[in-house]
Amino acid sequence: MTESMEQFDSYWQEVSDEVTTLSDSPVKLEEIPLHTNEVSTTYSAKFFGTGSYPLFAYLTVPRGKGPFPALLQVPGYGSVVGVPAYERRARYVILSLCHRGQRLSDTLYSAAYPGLLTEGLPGASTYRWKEIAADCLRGLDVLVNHPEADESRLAVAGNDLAAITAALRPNIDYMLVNTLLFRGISDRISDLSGYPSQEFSDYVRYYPDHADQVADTVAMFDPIAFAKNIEAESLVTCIEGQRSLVEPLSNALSGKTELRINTGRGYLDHGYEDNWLAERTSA
Amino acid sequence: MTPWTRDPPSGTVALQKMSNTPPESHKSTVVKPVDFDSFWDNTLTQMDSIPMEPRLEPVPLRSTPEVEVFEAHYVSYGKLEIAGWYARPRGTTDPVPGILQVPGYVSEPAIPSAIAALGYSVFSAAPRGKLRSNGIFNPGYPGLLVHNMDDRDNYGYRGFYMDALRAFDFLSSLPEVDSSRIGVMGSSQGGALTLLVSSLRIGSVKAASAGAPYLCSMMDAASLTRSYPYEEINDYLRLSPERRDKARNVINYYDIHNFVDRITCPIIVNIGLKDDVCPPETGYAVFDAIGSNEKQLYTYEDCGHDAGGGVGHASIVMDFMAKHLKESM
Repeated sequence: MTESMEQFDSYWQEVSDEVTTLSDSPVKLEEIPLHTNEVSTTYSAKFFGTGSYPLFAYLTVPRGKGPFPALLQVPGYGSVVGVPAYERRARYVILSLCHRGQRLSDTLYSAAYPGLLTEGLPGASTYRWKEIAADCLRGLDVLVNHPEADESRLAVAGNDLAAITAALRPNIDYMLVNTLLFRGISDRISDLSGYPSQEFSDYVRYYPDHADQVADTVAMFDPIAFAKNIEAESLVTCIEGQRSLVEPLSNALSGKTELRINTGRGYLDHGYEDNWLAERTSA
Repeated sequence: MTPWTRDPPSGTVALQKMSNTPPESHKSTVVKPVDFDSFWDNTLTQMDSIPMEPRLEPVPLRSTPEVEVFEAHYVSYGKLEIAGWYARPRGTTDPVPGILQVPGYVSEPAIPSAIAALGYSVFSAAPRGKLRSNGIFNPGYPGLLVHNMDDRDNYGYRGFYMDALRAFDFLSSLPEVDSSRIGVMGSSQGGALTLLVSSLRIGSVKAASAGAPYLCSMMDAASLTRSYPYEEINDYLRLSPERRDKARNVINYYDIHNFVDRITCPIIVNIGLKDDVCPPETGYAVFDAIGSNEKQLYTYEDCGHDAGGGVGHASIVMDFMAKHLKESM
């Protein structure tokens, strides 16, 4: 094992272990009547993440007799996390997490957009995304402990954070990954155009002496570094222009994996993802 | 209640309610209040009485050899301070065309460096409630759409609309911007705000591009979809059904459908024919109501709220802007 691999493993083992120590920490659920409807009940879920950080998530539970397939929706890149979509709420117990700094999890700190992608760089120990990944693990642990969640049909969906979560929590059965933020970034750190990834290039242009260290840190979050530990059956989607970056990830995942190149027509692409997940979870 | 479809065999709950009529046949149920014009004239007068106090602060971290980036601030309706990102090409001596970029509902305004690199001075506004403009007004998401929805004078979008309009005035006021060549563009809520600004700055907006416009035939839209943000209205009325008539009356003052007959500039609109967020019925209806003689609708099969964004519509938008803002130089 190389030094960098050892560093990678110990870094993430530390994150995972720290979250595990919170497993007996209380979770406060409170129904939100405003967002409860004929297909699901919506709750606010409040619990602590690492560092005693107070986190918020929407938790929705389908009407009817459970248990139901369970889905962790990891947060996207932006300040707002919404109430889960109607058609998903009808099928899954969903935990839709607001990581620290996003709205509703911002009592102690508010994330900046742009800015969050580079917050805490250049070092890996201070990089904000370490804590954000820990928030996702904590969210997953909260979800699987809900009595209506069927742990044998456990799924995670979203960006790189879904892959990190699936790697560090092997009880995940299905993974749906799209809109990757970190894939292949470390090799192109100075040459990224278009936000949000341009945040990295802005940073190393402004702090050129930090470029190598930033590249090393960002590589710790590249989903391909986690691929060998992801055994969930997976659907990985991307646009044609990202195939060269995403296909190596798809090939490296340990579990059965499908790579789908999107059509660019959202109704078809989102429908494909939803059907893929529903067929596997019998939702 | 209209039944919901289920597509066998996967049990997919359909995104839209069943409808027996094609979306282009939909007739908006929006009613224009008799005092609509005076309400907005009064609102504009109130805003005009407030000094804009524009400020630009350089942001070296986000600036490149090609583009200078600034954090912008101005004072708007109710004396709230509003933020935004301003980007301009470096090395220009003559005034350049401007583009106002207006944001979607939940997204934070992006730094518009890429468009500035094409030779435009670009302002990307963050109306009240967005990060950096939410110190006083912060209804959240969900929340904004139904904030004071039964109070015409204090509905959340009153100030929000004025912030977008003042963002246009801010851009127009900059000396390096050719105020005779300013376009407005945005999608979703940004599409709605594009239509709003084009309606209220007649003769000043040179060209407009509105994607998947939101806030059009709002009550119709809420009955056609179960997706947020319109689901906020359904949530609100489920808990408070007695407020339906009052809410509808208030919304009529804010429905973009009631503004757009004033538009005179060249304008393009794009919609996704499977859009569950802003139903295409409302997009067709607002396009029909636009007053401009130079308007074009782009419809995209099998697209949802992306409305062609994944199949090249962005190029159409930038070509349209170049034609109207640059070729007339």
